[in-house]
Amino acid sequence: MSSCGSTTAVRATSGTWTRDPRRPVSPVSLPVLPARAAVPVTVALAGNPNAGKTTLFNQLTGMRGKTANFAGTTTSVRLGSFELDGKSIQLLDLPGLYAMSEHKTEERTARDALLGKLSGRPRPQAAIVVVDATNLARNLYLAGQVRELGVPMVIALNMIDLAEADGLEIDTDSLAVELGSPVVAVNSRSGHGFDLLKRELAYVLDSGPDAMPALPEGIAACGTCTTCPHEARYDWAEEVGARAVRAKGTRLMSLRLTEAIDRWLTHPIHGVAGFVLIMAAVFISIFTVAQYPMAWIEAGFGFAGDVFGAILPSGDLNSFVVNGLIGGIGGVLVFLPQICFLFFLITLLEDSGYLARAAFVADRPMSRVGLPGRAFVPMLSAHACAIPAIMSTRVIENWRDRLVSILVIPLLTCTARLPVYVMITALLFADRPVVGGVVFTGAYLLGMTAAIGMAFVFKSTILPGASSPLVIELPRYRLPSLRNALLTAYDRGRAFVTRAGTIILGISVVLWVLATYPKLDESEWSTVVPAETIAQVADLRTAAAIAGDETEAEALEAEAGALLSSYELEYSVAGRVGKAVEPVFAPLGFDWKINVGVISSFAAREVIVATLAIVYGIGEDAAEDEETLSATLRAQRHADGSPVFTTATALALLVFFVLAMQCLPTNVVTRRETGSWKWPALQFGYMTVLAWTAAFVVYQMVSVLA
Amino acid sequence: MPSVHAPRQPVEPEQMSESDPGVPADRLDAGECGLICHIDGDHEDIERLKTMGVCLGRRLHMVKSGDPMIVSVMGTRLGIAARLSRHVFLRLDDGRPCHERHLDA
Repeated sequence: MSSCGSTTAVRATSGTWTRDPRRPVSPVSLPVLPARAAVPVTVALAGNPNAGKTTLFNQLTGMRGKTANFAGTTTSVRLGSFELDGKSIQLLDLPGLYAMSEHKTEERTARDALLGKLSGRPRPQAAIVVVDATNLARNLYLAGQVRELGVPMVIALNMIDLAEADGLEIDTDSLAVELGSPVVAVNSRSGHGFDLLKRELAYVLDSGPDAMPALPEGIAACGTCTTCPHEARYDWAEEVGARAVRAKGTRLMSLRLTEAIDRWLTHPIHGVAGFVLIMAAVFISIFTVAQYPMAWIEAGFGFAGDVFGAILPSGDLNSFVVNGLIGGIGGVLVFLPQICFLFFLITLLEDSGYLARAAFVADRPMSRVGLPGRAFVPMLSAHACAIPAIMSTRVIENWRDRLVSILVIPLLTCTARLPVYVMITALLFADRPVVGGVVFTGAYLLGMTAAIGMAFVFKSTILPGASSPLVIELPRYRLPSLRNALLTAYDRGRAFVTRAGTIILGISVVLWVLATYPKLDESEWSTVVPAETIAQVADLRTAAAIAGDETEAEALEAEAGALLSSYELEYSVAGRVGKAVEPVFAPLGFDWKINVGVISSFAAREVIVATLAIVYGIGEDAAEDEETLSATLRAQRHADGSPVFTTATALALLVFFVLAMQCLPTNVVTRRETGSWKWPALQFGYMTVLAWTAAFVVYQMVSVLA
Repeated sequence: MPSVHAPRQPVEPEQMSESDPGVPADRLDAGECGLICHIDGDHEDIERLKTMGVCLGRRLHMVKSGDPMIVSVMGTRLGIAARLSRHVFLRLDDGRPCHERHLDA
């Protein structure tokens, strides 16, 4: 019998795997990989969902994993590496699978990956199959299929500690003989058994496929069964499991505990209440805890901007570095704490077993709008940022359901919209905070209603069909792994920074160029700047020249610059485009200056706040002061003296920003997740049309009522 | 928890004919169990069920009835929508408490 403390090694002799007492166990006498190991050695990691595969991957590779897609597919895979006998082994973490059938894309892709049929990816030399020791028979189904493919494999019998706590004894020797592969009992959380697992892997790699014993008869029979291959495989798995496992009594404490908790958390009433409470706690924690690091990041970039602004000579380079580079990077990184914290909490919930219950409870209400229960968590995540939310739709198995979720997720209010909501509610309801709060909440509700409505529309039109019926494993409850949650948060945070950060940085630079050039020379002031303003600027500059104090002179120069900045913008490419599109946005009550804000925020919606501050000549720094910004915006007048920001215009602007796409990184992630530009194009198109139409209706209705 | 469906007369295995597919899983009450004897259809969702262990010859234990419901198969608890579980037919066990059989599994 094997236990966590007495891991077992077996080896092949005469076509089967048997215990070999002469096998070296000292690290100094590890088998040396042959010369072919000079080329990268790839080992695939396969296993059922909830078998502890991710924990084992993290334990083996540390923090060196990265997520990528298989070439030409939307199936994601994690890649990592670890040292084995001085050689670097590339670990290919396949998606969690129950089987390798032809019916599911992920399963088919995993099968092709194991067979080396995917372009650009060599056939793995071996596979580690993670098997849940507490649920042996069900997990052996997949192990049998991997063995049948002819890939040399090592079975990592995970959660052996839990199996022992349940009173189960597992004979790894007998299991190894039945599977024709070595079996090592491990605990992926503590790392127990990993030394032996690595030694067995080195041995299997060293031996190569030729040394594999013949396919055990039981597995071979499954593959030839023509009536019901599932039945044949499960018959085999149950028989093998029954021979290898011996129950010591009927304790199964964790199972009884799970049943007791589930009576509450899956109940139609308490379950829903618990679900709302847990999700509300996650939501509130993201906003409350993340606000501190967000403030630090903002302060850090503000400081960096001040330092570089002071060091660099004033001019284009200064503006490029401070506004283009530092502003662009800071604008993205400020959301990093929310994203990391979100994934940290979601991983804790997933590890504990609760996330499956959340999908269970949410399934019925969600199915009424044509979405599966599994779509709930990505939709919740979207309230922090649409990018990780779209990435997390991978939990939705049905492609059509997943696509609908991806398409509607950007309608939910992400944190980048909040500065816009704050600006407009402060503009309209500065003296009526309760009304402002109601409008703020209304903006959230509008986003949710639009997402649910559009999901229904997509399900009724281009992506028809009821949501895929729920089939979900409800794993036993267990204490989540803090290390795993931290590693996942780090991994997702890094992916966010590299993917979204690089794109948004590029866009920020392009926007800076468009909003800066062509430059408005002093010789051309008379064509754009009113004579009154030219006189004001001249007065300020004269005052600066004769000012005794350097600080005072700088302040006067800055004031003169602020007066000119809106005209410089009007003269730039962005300003000219804003004027060109006036006919499009005039029905919404927007003038060319608001249009510049809408266009400049095409790549990142929060940019509009800074842009409006520049357009209306108060400078970006003043934009951080809500009162200054809203007071300035309120004071704006058209040529005929009527206010620019009427209630109708401001509400139309709010509705436009609730519903418009205005986030290029999200579009790029949609492209990546769907494997086509067709879907991000549809996403951008329908959201823009929806936003314009809704803003038009609001503007016209409020104008009439006012 | 009360059953969400109409009362059903228990079907004894000996009462079933060859043509009788058995009792649909969505009509089981919590605590009942039986042997999966027939699965109707072969679309993608049914295949998904089968790969997760809900296939011919396995014993299914109804943990919580309703929609969705919780069943236990091969020691694993699964949440399944009623519209899918009605494709799974069972021969109900004798009067022995299902929980005991479940522990045997």
